[in-house]
Amino acid sequence: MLMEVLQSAFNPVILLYMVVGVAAGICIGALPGLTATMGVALLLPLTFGMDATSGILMLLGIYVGAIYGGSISAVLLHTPGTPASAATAIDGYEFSKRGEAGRALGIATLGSYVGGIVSCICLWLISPQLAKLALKFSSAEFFLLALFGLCIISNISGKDMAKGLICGFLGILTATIGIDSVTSYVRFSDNVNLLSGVQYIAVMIGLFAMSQAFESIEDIFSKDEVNTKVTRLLPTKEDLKIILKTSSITGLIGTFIGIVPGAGADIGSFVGYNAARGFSKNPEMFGKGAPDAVAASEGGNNGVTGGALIPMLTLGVPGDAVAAIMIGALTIQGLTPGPMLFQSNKVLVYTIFLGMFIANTIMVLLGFSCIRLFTKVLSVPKTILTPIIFALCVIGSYAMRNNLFDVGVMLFAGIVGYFLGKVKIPTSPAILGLILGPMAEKNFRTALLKSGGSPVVFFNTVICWFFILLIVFSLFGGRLKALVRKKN
Amino acid sequence: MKKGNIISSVIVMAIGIYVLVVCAGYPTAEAYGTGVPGPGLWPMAVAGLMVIAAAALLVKALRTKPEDDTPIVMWTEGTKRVYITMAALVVYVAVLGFLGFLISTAVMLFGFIQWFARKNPLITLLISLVCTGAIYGVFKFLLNVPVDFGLFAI
Repeated sequence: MLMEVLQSAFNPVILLYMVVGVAAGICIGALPGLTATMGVALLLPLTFGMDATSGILMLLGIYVGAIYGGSISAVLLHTPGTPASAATAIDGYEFSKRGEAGRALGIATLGSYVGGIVSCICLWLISPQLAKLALKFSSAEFFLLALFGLCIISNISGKDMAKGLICGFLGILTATIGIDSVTSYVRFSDNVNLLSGVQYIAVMIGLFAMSQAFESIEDIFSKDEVNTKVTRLLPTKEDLKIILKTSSITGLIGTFIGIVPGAGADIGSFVGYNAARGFSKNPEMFGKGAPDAVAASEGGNNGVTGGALIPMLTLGVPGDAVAAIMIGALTIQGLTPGPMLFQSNKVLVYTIFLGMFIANTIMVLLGFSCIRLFTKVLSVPKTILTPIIFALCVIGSYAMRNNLFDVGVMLFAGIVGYFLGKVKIPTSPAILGLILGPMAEKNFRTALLKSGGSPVVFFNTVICWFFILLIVFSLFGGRLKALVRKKN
Repeated sequence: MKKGNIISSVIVMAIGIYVLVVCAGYPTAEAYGTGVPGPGLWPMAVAGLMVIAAAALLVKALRTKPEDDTPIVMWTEGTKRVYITMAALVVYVAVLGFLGFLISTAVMLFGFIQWFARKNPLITLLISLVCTGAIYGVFKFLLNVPVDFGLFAI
């Protein structure tokens, strides 16, 4: 199997796809307003004509590249290219003000690489074990797992839990449209285009790409200009020590945040930043251009990339929005993410693992060799780019089923996403709902079918109880903590 | 934000109640006799929870004091541009099937780029044609996506 994996991952065509993917990802990430999720959603249709390995590895390249690319504009413009680099912007721009933009970009590049590699190692170590455990899951355990994933929505909704829940419920309800898989009953609409359900990739392109393009129209005439020269990229010995120490720790933190369904690179970055401030020798320098701050943030966000793939590959549960799109990419290729993937497509799974290492290595090489070229991307005018994004959204949503109806769905989702953004309703929970909703419903009913309608089936095994405890903790853990604090 | 929260919670509650009413007419578990809940149970449970969440948002919005409220700006030069863009895109998607990808996309790109970038119309035309051609070429010839639909398709 090892030879097959090596042959597959080091296939020159696949390597080329990955280089293109990483380069495209860095450009997308560098442009403020274009996120990693948007990039992967927009470029997903390009993988429809490829085989599964090429397609997934190219998407991984885009993902890894975009998360890193966000640091370029964060450092040079004080505007994070993606939300994942918001923490990088705090200290990164301070370097630029001191004329040390190159140093900050060098730290960000190597920090991203270290974080990414740590997450790859975790992916490699944890995934097979988790998949083995998941083989023991029956419908009841899968239902409780999906329910736990849905309960996480309340934790990732920020201050307004009700808003996050509303969006998650809307996602779950959208996924119920069409033929019910258990009884074949047609729900909500007998429109022939909706019988097999709403195409969630079209919804994602709408929610993450189209709605952001609408947002960028609001200030379409604003121009981002780079006024700093980028020199001396390679980190010094002192910086290298800081990066290796800080980014490996925050990369590990990011990985575990990535494993939690729905928690993405933006959270990984901020948690990593705060953790690094905690163990830094100079915490007072955070916010004033500290090298460990940049390394922490970038290690944290790139750590999420591998972490998000762990539940996606082993359980079919997306770690973040990009992993959700990748589930779609695998499904289009006729593959179902989950423990059985480790049995039936071992070579593909291990090629993905190795592909993550390669994508991160390509990222660091491109980062150090072509950073000045990537900074030129910042001067691409939004006035031309935004209409092209419209065209890509349209053809991307059409290409999935060659169906114009899906284009309408995408546009509708884009418009809804724009207005949801206006009232500060987060859209990520909708994706969790769209993916985990059907998984929860199907397994809930299958479990009851097997037990003859007895709900005892959900309390039969230790794994069930483990998930029940997780659900209770995810729902009430925060309140319990607050109560304990109040008492103290 | 208060007004926005009230409007959005009312819309969500209306959707939730609609789902509850529709699902009430779906066959129940007894109709199948297997112990499996009917097709309406899951959406009903979710819609019920959604109505509760929307009600919580509504109560919170109504309790918001005017001094704590941050207004949402829905009518500026920027948002007007967004609404016009949305309307234009609805028209574009509506005629896409009839005019085909090439013509409608070239026209869409020309219109938007000319509006936003205000370049020489000839340069805008060139950019629109090149971009449309590139997207068409990649999807049609590299990815084998049948993009040639509509009356004037090539």
